[in-house]
Amino acid sequence: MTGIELFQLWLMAFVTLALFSFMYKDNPIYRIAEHIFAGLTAGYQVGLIWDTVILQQLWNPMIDGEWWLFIPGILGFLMFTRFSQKFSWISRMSLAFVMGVTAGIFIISQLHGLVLPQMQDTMIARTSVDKTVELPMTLQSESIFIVDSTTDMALLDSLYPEVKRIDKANPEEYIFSATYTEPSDKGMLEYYAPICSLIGVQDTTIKKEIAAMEVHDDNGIELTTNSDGTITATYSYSSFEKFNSGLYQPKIAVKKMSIMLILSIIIVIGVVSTLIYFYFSHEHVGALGVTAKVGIWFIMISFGAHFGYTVMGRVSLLIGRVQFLVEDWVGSFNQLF
Amino acid sequence: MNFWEKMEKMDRRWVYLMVGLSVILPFIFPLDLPISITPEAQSVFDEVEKIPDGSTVMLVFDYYPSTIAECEPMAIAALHHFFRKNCKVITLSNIPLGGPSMAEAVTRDMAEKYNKVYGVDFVNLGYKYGYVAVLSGMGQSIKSIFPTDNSGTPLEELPLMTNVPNYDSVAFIFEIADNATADYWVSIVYAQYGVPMVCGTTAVSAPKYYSFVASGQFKGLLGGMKGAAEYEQLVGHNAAAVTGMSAQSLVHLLIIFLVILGNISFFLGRKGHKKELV
Repeated sequence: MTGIELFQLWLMAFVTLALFSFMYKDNPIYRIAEHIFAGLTAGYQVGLIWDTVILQQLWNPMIDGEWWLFIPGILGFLMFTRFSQKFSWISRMSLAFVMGVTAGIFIISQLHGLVLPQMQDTMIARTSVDKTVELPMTLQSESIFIVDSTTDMALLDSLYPEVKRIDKANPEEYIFSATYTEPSDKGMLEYYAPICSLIGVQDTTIKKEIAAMEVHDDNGIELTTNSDGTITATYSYSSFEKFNSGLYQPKIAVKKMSIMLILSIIIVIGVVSTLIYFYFSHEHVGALGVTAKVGIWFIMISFGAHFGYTVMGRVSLLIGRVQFLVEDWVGSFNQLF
Repeated sequence: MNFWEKMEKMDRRWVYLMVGLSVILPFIFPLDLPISITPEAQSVFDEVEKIPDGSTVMLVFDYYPSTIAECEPMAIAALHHFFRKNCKVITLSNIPLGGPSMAEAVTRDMAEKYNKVYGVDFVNLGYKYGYVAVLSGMGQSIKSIFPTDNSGTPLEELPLMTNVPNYDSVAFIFEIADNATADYWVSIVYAQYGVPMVCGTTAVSAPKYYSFVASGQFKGLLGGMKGAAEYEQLVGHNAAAVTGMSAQSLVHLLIIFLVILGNISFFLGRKGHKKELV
């Protein structure tokens, strides 16, 4: 450990102990450490934004010819008019632009990324996988070879002349299809769901190594019940960007799912009653009052879980500092004494 | 003044002392307490295992230095896992204070252990202000958002980045966050581009993200130091989080004991107070 590193280590230990000293009582050493932290944070942030935003994304591109960037530059500069009572209204133009852009991005992303998927998941029944079984199946799909710019086409033609090729750069649609008979051992709240997989074949002649890949789960697979009682599962796949080049074989298995009815009901009751607790346009009496009270219970249980995790989080922070003091700082004593 | 009255009036600094000792002692006298693996942590491990060897992945350092104890062990374990599978790792941060430098220090340290070369096997894009614009913009072009890496090298000069124009070339995202940026990775990147992702987060944030795991938006979740310790075990590199869990368990036992003691003291005190009133 160099002298500078040792000095840094001792400075870190001093600041850590200075902040811990507040637990005994407020004192000047604690205040010094607190003010150093606040000052460093502000200074570091100003420097970072100057470098990564003002220079990298505004000034340098403008110098390189992207002159139109002066428009957002001026909009940013107008924000400083807030310091003047007379001209502060001008800053509203910049704020309006920021609000418009933010709303445009957020409305779509929040709705499609958070609200709708969470609502959808609340309403669908929870399931658990009991077992995955390999059933006798009639596979109607053939193996494929995913080709990219590194593939030796001459070698491929000699080794696998019959195998269908799919170009990674320009992939065509590949359809999985298999017919099977569903087992009769399912209960009332159970069902069988197919899983489609493309399994990479390890062939060191043409390609080093290909990992097994599960292409898709039970979503997006089309199921058709045939007249003889068998089921045909069909799944089309056209996105091969993430595949390594090599030979792949299709495989379809089924997994037995159980609908966890009680858990699904509890979740729906919890969500609805909690939302009703926050409905304040009507007095909480009668059925509304009872539902709101159920909602409070769900909220309290949620707070309990949050509190437990918060305790764990805060203790972890202390453990991190103690780990540093015991292992690094005390460990450095032998270099000094 | 009886025992329970003394308990009620106990100076809080005695509690600090007891918590402090419970944390320090396991580091001096290690306890080998078992750590069970939760399904969420197992999913994180399984999802990383599923990535084809040699794929390009993103490891996001969205945490402040204050939560290093919980988040850094996750990052280290993830790097062990990725480098072992010869994945190409792109690191970045949406946290101005320390994010890029922590990513740089941790990744370079791990890369040295696996003989990985900067620019070929891993790249640190660093930090850029405005995470919403950053996450959206990278879907079109990573280069337009990060013209250079963290140390100012243009992306054209880094072989790894010449093959990664946007999210389409990223097989997997491992987001480690101590704040709400994880929400935006889900609502912007997962919702619009469908890149599979897992999340490692602080214990304080973990309860919120369980619903994202249930809905399949996150494929797995590591919650706090416990989650980090589980992942360290699964990856097979027991380190800071596993060591810290003994102290964590001891403090939890102490807190449970103090909560019970405090409640008994409170109820007995209230009973005595009622008698006095009668």
